[in-house]
Amino acid sequence: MNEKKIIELKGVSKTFDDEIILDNIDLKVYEKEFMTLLGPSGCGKTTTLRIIAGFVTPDNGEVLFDDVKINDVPPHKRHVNTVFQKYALFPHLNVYENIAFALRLKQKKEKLSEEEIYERVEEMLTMVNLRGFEKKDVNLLSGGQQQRVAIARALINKPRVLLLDEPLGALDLKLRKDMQNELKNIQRRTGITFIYVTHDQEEALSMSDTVVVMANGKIQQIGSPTDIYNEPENAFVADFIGESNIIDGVMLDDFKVRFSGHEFECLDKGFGKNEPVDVVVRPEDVDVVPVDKGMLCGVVDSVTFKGVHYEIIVTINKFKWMIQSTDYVAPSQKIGIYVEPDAIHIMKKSEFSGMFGDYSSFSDELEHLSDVTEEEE
Amino acid sequence: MNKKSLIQKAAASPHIVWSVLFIIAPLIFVMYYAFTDKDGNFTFSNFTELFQASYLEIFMRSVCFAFLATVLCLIIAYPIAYFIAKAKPKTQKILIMLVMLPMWMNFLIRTYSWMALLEDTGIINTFLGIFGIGPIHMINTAGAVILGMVYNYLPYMIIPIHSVLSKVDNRLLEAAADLGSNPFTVITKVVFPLSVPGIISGITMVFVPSISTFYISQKLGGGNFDLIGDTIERQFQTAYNYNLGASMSFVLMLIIIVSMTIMNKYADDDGGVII
Repeated sequence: MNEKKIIELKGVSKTFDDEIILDNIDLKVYEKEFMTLLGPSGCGKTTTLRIIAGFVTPDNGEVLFDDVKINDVPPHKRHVNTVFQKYALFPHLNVYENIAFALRLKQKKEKLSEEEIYERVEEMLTMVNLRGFEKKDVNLLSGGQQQRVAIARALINKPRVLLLDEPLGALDLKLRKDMQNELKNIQRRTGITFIYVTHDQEEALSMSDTVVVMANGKIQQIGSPTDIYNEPENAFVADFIGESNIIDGVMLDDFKVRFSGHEFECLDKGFGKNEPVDVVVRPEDVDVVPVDKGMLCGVVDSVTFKGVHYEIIVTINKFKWMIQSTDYVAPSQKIGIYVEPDAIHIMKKSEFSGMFGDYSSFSDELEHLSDVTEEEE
Repeated sequence: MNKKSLIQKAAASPHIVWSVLFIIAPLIFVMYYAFTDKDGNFTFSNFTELFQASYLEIFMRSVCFAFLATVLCLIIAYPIAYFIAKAKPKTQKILIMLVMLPMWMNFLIRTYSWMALLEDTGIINTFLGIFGIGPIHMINTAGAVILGMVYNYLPYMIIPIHSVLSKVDNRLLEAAADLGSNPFTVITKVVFPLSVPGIISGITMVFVPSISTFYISQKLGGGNFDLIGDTIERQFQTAYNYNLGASMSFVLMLIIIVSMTIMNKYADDDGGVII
């Protein structure tokens, strides 16, 4: 990744109707980076994107583009283009004219010939696999095709930065996967910086160079997908990204943590003696062992077959753990669990501590809630 | 299924009765009178009579006045409709009510009011007189007649345009700005083309009553600017020449149908430019 900074937000805040949407956001976006703003509805990710696009003016703070403050630069003068949620294609124009829109605007000023416009539009259509659709009515296209037109329309101006606001939200799962790959390819080929907004953690992890996890108008963590997954900074990040058991613990010493009435070795240090902490253990990192070999033991509440693995809910010291295992265990069976030191991740206590408890209330309904497709605002 | 369609037929019957009684039957009467003489014999003479210079002049004037009134209405109404559509939903309701408010009053009373305003010794000239201006001759001019038309039919232009503009998705405007449109080209490239359907219905709703109006020209034009509507009215009310009146009505209908067809064709060909 190129280390040249292209966009920077410094202390950006925004309030709508007395509600704090963004609270002192600092963010740096580098050239050729694929950055994802990830968070639940209402976390401020879309507002952040709209501030960069110029549709929202921040109350406080600075928006810098190439180190120049652009707070007051209107959208049409910024070197960014947007792929809108639900595409916002112009219904009175056909596919060709939708894509050519940006060029038509500067056709006179830059003396673009029809041939040049034709070539650029065709180039875009080839890139998004829509050749032959030039004369089609955009209202009659499928969701995936509209999506492609929207991407082509936003890229024809060769923007320095492309902003994508939940672009795949309206597509079905299969199509979404295909488009994820395609977007990633387009980004690599064009070398354009992408800032991508989504609430889908899987999408964020699989596409991004950098993930920015947001909640309550604040950035919770910035990092690579592996960092975000393996080293979550607080309970919110740990809970939002993937499945996790978040347990109250006490850091006894460096590399030593106590939780669930047992002392564990871990790889974390630098905490105070006997400092209360949040302990994260990912369900796939827990091994099921016979009771006598277990570090902890408990009774199996339920077992659900998920295809690749079984999802086992087990009660240990009144805390319900989720374990993912390829081996079947029977409900009501007593089992032991074993956790490797590198599977334990320690986090400082935060405002989110205790909000994401165990899996006692876990159900399909809640799982569904965690990937809501509702829009922000 | 059969039973249901019977109920459906029954439900539609008031509309059918209405259409037959008040639309189809009168049209048949018009046709009958237009193509017969006083004794009820078939003839084209009612139409050949219309080719006199005086009638042709009236037809020409009617078309010109209606055209001017429509264009003026469009020019005035579009910014108003745009402004209203940009307001908050609550404000929009109030503003639209204000646009319609004059229509709650009787058409005759409103036209009389304009007479009182425009007369040489009327309210406007009295007011201007205080500053030593005028009197400006306004009543009984072509301008006064067109003013009367614009005033009376303006709401019919504002409302359809507003209703289309208020439905334009704000995201489209953002998309246009995002792609490099300045506030002016956002309007010319996106807002205006999308509002064409509203403009078309507005033009229809203003042009049709303008071309067939009577009374406005009599009261505000002082009888100097006879329009088709006035002439038709006179055939029925004073000259008792139903046959000639019917033939004029028939021609008027043709003019309206032809002009509307041409306009709709323009709109279909390229959603963009009408004028």
